[in-house]
Amino acid sequence: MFDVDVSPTWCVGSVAHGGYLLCITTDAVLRHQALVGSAHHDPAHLTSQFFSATVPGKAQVEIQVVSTTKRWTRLDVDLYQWSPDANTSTFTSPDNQRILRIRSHYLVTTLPEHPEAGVLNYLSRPCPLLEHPGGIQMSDGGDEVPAKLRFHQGLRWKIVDKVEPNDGSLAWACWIEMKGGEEVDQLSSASLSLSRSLALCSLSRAQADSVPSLAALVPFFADVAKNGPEMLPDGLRPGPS
Amino acid sequence: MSLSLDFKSKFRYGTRTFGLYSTTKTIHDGRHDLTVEVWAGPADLGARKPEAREGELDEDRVARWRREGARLVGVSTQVRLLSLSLILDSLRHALRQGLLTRS
Repeated sequence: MFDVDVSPTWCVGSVAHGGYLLCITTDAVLRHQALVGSAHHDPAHLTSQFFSATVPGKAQVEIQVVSTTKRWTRLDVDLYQWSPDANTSTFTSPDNQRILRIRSHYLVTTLPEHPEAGVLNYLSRPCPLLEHPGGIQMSDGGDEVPAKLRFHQGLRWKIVDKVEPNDGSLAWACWIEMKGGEEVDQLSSASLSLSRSLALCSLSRAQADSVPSLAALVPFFADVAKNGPEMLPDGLRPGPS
Repeated sequence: MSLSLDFKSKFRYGTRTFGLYSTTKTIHDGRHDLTVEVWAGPADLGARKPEAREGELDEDRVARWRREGARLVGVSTQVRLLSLSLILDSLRHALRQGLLTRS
């Protein structure tokens, strides 16, 4: 189990950003794997269900090993908060007060390196973004990042031309860049602290702190993309149902 | 509401620039599907254009960065609910169009 501080910065309006929360759970998974000395250190797949909005403040990430084989470790990873006050420091009866916010399942393994250029594979298809990020004119600061994203100062982006699907799908593409600074450091380390109540802590703390957490950033980007309905032209957007 | 993510290879890129490519196939009953590809970028935003190799045609240079420079690091499928802000937007739109009247 890990104690977590959900940052008020990584929020959309007043609730925590879903991709940021998956950074937290993925980071917890990587630390857990290091702590227990597992042979598997790369997240390969995650599925997650969001039950209710997570608010800034304290939370707990609980990890259970479901199965271990030579190739895969499967983990159930749940994120809890307390109600009504997420920041209460006396969790007298966790069973009664805890609310399950997110339930996720992870497959952890040892991933292969990305195939080298020129080697025949079906991963390296051409990038569907048609403009090279280096060639984009950024003197205007890029496209506006909505202010409801509380972390909008930590990143910049530019919407670009893309491969248009020919099956009637809507498509949207952008290059997005982390500008660095405190917020971004916070995102990549996901503000995780180990629970003092857990025996696992007697294992090497230094070992856990040295876990590379770059992979933990991928879920954030996966969730920052525009909503499908927002891709529709003005006037065609669906109204309240 | 629901998000799955497939991590494609060991993440070892010193990049802070990512490409997002998202597609939606259906929007119905307040829900919509979303597939998002996350690409590790070959350069920082506005840093420099890819240089052509000697004798390389422009379209070959473009084909090369799209095939070798950018790397697909994750594919995510999601189900999202229509966001409140989107509903408010469409309400405002309907008000402007005279489709709704304030009471």
